[in-house]
Amino acid sequence: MEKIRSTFFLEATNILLGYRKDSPISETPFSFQLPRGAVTALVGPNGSGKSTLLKALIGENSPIEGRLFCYGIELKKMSRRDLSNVISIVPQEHTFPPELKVKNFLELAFLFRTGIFKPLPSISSDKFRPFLEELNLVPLISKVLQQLSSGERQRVFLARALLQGSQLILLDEPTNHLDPKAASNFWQSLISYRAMQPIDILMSTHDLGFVKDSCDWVLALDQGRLFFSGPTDLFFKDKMNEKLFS
Amino acid sequence: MTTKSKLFLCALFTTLILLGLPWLGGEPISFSALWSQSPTLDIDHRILWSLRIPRLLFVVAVGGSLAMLGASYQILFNNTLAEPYILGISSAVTLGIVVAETFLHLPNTSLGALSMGLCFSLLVTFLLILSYSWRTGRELERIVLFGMGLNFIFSSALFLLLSYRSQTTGGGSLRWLFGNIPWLSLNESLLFLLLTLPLCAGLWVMGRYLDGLSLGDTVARTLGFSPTKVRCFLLFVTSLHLTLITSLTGSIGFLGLVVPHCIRLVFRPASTRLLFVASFIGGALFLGIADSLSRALLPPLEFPIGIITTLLGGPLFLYLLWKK
Repeated sequence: MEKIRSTFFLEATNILLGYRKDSPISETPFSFQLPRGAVTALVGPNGSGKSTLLKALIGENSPIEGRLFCYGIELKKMSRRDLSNVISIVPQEHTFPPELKVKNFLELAFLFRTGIFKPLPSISSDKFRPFLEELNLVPLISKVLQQLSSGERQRVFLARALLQGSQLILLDEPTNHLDPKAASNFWQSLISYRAMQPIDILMSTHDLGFVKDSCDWVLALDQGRLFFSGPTDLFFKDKMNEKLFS
Repeated sequence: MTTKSKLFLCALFTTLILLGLPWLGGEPISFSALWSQSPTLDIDHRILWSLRIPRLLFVVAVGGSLAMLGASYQILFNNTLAEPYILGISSAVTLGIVVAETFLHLPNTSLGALSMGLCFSLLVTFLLILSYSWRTGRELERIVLFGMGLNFIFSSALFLLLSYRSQTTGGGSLRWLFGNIPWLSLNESLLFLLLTLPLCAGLWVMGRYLDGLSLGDTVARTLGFSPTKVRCFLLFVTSLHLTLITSLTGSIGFLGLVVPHCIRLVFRPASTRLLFVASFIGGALFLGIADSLSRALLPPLEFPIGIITTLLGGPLFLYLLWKK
């Protein structure tokens, strides 16, 4: 992998978002740059293109036009293996084998970091103890995924993405189905992990309270177009949030 | 006890039971017939080595393979109700063979008939892969529904042909509809093992990718492989595997669905590879017992094996669901 040299974790030049070539969400191309080291919130009304952008980043559908750069490298030119070193994701709808125990599920994070004939490293070893304590997962480790509450489950999904060890974590509306307490636990886990590991975070969310308190940068989309990209305080100072959702 | 040690015990237990099975059957056989060739035991020796042991080897390979295929389809299509016969591949193989039998008058184990079955199965596999990768979106439901559609078409054509045949020449349909274990010679059985075991081993290696797929395609994309390519590749390889089995046995229902489910409910295997190993053992044991029952219920009659597997598997499955 080329040496990371860009000061932006994500750059977009003249992109058009959409699922099908012949029908982009909007006809106006847009560009933005997201600085490294910032927790970036991706906000916008439903259907504004948030999920489409996240999907474009992991290659599920490419932007209809324009180019996307991750750490200065064009996404299209990255091999899948390189991409897996750079990006991990907590999707909105998470599929999982229901009968699996939490520890076995977390070990799946090492699937392709371990040689194909070598056994996966055990999450119960001392090496991962601080990580599990930081995310408050120690009591859950032997439980079965299906029996967890949705808040607990979401933290387990976050832990799997973090264990993958990539530099950029994408979160797609992670607290959508959670009650306020579970949501705050989730954010707490994320913030305390970030204090240990300086990862970049891009998350789509409707939780503007959390955006105001904990995010450094806001990328706002509206109807498939760029609405705002800049520091959080500017976003709230200019009352952009009210205009966006009005 | 860890899953691995449980699994080891079960494997041991299964081996012991399977080793006992050749001594069950219409004709009682002395134990020493295994090695002794004295004139009094000569018939026993021949029954054992040219009939029952080859059959046991064949049954182990078929049962284990079907259970593994069922397990992999369930993950591949993210559908707990998936089983090896869901996609129409097996009915296509059977139709191919029956067509060759009826119109070209080839015996159903001849190379010509088997190649015809293979052609039909490759056609279906090709259509399935096409239906999956043709348009963007690549929804899993589409491929399953498309496969079910193909299954209906090919089964109906098969029923039509079988009913035509039973009214003109008579007989021979049950083995295709409800499964049948053919009597193979020792060499044929060994050849079958030689073909299926590498396929099983290959599937075991691919278990890591199935683990990745079980997290959903979105996550799988960030794990370093293309879910679409892996799915197409696995679809192709499992189709060949299934073709090999179905061309000799017809469809043996329920095993591929029920064995992986029981394994999941009882062992909660930590990875797809463990699930595969456990399913292979479970499938071999299940089919071994079902085969002995099909022959031992009313000797010398032999019932279609698929009926026995369903009769055995159905209640077992319901019981396990009830208990959990």
